[in-house]
Amino acid sequence: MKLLLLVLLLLTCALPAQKVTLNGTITEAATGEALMGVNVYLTELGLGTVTNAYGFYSLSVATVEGVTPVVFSYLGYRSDTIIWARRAGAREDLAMLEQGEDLGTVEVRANGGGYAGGPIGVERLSLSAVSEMPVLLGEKDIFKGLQMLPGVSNPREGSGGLYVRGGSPDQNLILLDGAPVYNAFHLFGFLSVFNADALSSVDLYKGSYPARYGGRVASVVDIRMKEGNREKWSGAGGIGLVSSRLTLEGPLGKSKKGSIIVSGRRTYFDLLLNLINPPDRKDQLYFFDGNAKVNYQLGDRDRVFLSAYTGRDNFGSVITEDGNDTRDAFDWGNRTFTARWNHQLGERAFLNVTAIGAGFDFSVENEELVRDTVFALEYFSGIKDLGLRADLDWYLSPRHSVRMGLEATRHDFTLSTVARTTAELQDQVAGEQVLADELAVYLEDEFAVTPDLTLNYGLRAATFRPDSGAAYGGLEPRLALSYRLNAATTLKAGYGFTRQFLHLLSNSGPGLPTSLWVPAGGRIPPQHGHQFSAGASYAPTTSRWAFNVEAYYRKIDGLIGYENGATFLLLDVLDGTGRADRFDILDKVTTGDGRAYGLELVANYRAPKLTANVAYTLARVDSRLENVNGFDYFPANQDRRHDLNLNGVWRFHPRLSLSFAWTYGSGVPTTIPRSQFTSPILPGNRNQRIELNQFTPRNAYRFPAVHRLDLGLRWRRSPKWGEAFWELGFYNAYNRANPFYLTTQDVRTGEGALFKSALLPVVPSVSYQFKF
Amino acid sequence: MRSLFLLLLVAVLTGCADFFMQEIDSPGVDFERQLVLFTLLSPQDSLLFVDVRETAPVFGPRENANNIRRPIEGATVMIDDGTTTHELAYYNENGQQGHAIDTEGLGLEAGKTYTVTASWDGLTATGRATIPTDTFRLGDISLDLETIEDGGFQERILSVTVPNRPGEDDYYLLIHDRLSSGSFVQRNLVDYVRGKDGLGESLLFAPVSLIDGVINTVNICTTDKATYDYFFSRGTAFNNQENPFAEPTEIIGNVEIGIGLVGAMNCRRVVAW
Repeated sequence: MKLLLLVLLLLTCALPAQKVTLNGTITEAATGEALMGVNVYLTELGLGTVTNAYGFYSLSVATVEGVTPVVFSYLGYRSDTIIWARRAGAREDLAMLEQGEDLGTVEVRANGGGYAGGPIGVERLSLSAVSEMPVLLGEKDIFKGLQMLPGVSNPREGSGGLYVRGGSPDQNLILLDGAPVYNAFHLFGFLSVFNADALSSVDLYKGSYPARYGGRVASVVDIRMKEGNREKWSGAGGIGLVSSRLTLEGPLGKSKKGSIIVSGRRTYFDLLLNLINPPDRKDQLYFFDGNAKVNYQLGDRDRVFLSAYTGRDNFGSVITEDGNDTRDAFDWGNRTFTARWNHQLGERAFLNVTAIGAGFDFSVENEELVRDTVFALEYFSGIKDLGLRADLDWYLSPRHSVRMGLEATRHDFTLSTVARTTAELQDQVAGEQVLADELAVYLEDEFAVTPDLTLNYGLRAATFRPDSGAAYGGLEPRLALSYRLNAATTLKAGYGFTRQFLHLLSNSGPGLPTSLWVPAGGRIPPQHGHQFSAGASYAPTTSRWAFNVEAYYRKIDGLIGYENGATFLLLDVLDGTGRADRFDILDKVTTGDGRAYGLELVANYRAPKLTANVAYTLARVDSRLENVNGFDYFPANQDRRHDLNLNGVWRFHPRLSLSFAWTYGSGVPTTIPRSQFTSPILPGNRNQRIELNQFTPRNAYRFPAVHRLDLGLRWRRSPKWGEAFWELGFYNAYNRANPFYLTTQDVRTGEGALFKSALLPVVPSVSYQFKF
Repeated sequence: MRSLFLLLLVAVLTGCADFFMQEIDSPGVDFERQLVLFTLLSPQDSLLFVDVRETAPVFGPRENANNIRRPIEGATVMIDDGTTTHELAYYNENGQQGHAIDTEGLGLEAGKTYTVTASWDGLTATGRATIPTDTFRLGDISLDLETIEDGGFQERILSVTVPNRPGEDDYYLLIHDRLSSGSFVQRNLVDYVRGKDGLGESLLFAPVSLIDGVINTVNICTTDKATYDYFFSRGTAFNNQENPFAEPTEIIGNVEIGIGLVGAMNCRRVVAW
């Protein structure tokens, strides 16, 4: 803490005496939405800044007689210039107009011209590009857009995760309006839980992310919902064969001081399936999600926001036979809630105070009713967070943008509950609850050392204290730099030390949302790691091509994994004592470390009619766990050597476009049997024997490679009430059977074979998308 | 609409039936032939059995299927106590099968280490075990016999409790022998338990269901870590079969070159009629 204060003091001492400040808020003209990341640039001085998440900017420069032009620029919007009389400070709120046709690519900030500063290491997903990508079942998906980026993958279909630079899904901090989303997938990993219509921005930090983010060791996905149209009521939606969605937004009151946005979507495959089911069978196969956000301006300097998300997947069936019911269910879902207060402090500071609630749970149930006797078994696991954070953006000078803040989170883990009920025996085993507090403070500075060299350096201090057991904590230094070599070439490098107090205990089998969130404490240490990255981007202004190359190395300690043979079933005590009749989860868990390194190459081509991106990643991820493979490094579950993505849009007609996405990934590791044998229950016992497999070492076998082509044909219509699109899509267009899991079967007596099980063949879809 | 949907579904299911599960032509998994050796040395048993089998490939034809399903009669099995080596003969009587030797002549003793070696068709497997010296005092063992009515039938349940010794390294087995007329012996492994700190002062085994009309002998045994690990991992592997949530299970043994267990136990016996 003393170190933080010292850095702050030094920064304050660096301030010149006579200064005037230009500040204000930048919004989108059509909707009144705040624009984040708008470049505000003093051309004469070569100084500038960018707007924060609420569109706020502040530039302080020395007082002079005369005027200075100020340029406001933002990709996809018309640039604007104002003339500022620098004798005195001024407030300049600006509404920017959209430029028209978007180039439809995933933008990588290369700082190709103008002000060299601004966020380093962030990749902002173009939501308009996402809306043009070919999709499964007509559902636009931001995670599919992220998975097209180098270093980001989904090792196998249905594995349900975002794997960034060799990190596992739990190592990504996924934030929705500042609230963590613990499981970001619907449909076992085929779709993310985020409805793209309701989002305003998606930022990905792959490596050395700034000090304001913490609690995860691999990456940050910062997703922000739209605020709602403050100018007029509008809407967007889509109607598909198995799902539909609708988003409505508009101003609150005639004063237009506030706005509201509400959106929802649901699949209805179960409704169709139950039409053809026999009367004694009812299936439950659907997901839904809903978002809502309200904001209101309280005077010139204050604004409040309330936002909420809920979503759930429900899979199950009820079968009635001879009057007896058998019910199976597998459900999971997320909830988030954010209440935020913005306050502008003076001319150069912006305060955010946020209350956050978040939760995730899953349950697996089986219930049978036989002659009035219920036999039920249920597994449940969940995590609930309540938190408070305060963030201060302080535009100290055009060369220093300082951010500082603190956050406190109360975690509530329920690890697993087993419940059995019969007529004779009532055995309700209560869930084990673990409570823990996570506290953090941070300070970071975006420092424009020269017009071409920008640094983001910072320090974060975090602690984690379970109500009982060991506490952990420490400092986390962060550094990122960007140097513009010339108008076309930018060099970048970064280092980050990150610490994570939560683990997701996953098995290496099929990816189902049954992984357990386990807090650090006692015998489980926190994860912590170093990441180094360096790269260059080359984007000549006269060329349609742009290139990016980046290399990284990560080392992570404090990984956990299941022991051989472990399963999440019946693991219901965390570090419990005195329970001879129950399983202790920590007896099934082993710890170790990991390392990952790779090289990422990207080429973008942008022309009026054709946009294309190629991304290739060469990577290696190894883990080492005690009691597994002799504590030698072995390929981690997500280790994929080659990952190639090719996607783009061909606008061959003013109203028609063809989008394509082809992905190739070499096989990920798994463990399969290599020989089999039988054994009597006890030596000499003739009548009872069991058949057993001897397995390869952990992850010593590779899945076959996966590759898939998705196609989408889009037909734009212009009805009087707005804009509409008919979309014809083909997921897995050439019907590749990509393996979901491997299994062994006897193909005939005395002969076995290895089979790959695939999930989705070619899936055509038709959907109707609209905006009004 | 309903007919159309049904038609579409049938078309998809019939057309794609082969899509969802496809055989991988050459899995490329190396198979190594090994002997599987399994024995449990106990001074209290009158016969020592050694089970010798062979592993088989998971993928492709299994030409040695008979050597997987039953003990290999032609195997050579030896036991060595450090001074004397004895050869075991094949035995197949009274519900028992495998290579066996009379323990009276062998003289199994607590605290002594024995090496068991099996060989057949160019393969060898060998393992070593020391018979535990510590056994329970009879006064330490708590027995609770209960009769339960279930659907008009009476079932006698014997519960066995033993002290949980301080420390982390005490391992126990509970074995149930049923001797019926004609000397037919049926032996069952009831439970394997690891005592450790934090589990309380006593350890409760899984209950034994006593069978009417036979001699029920309950063996309450002290064993070693290797034996416990083998039974625990083997039980886990068996329970996890077809469980997609479970990690593959490595069966932990102590046999060199081959696989399996040369285990040991030292038991107290309780006979119930």
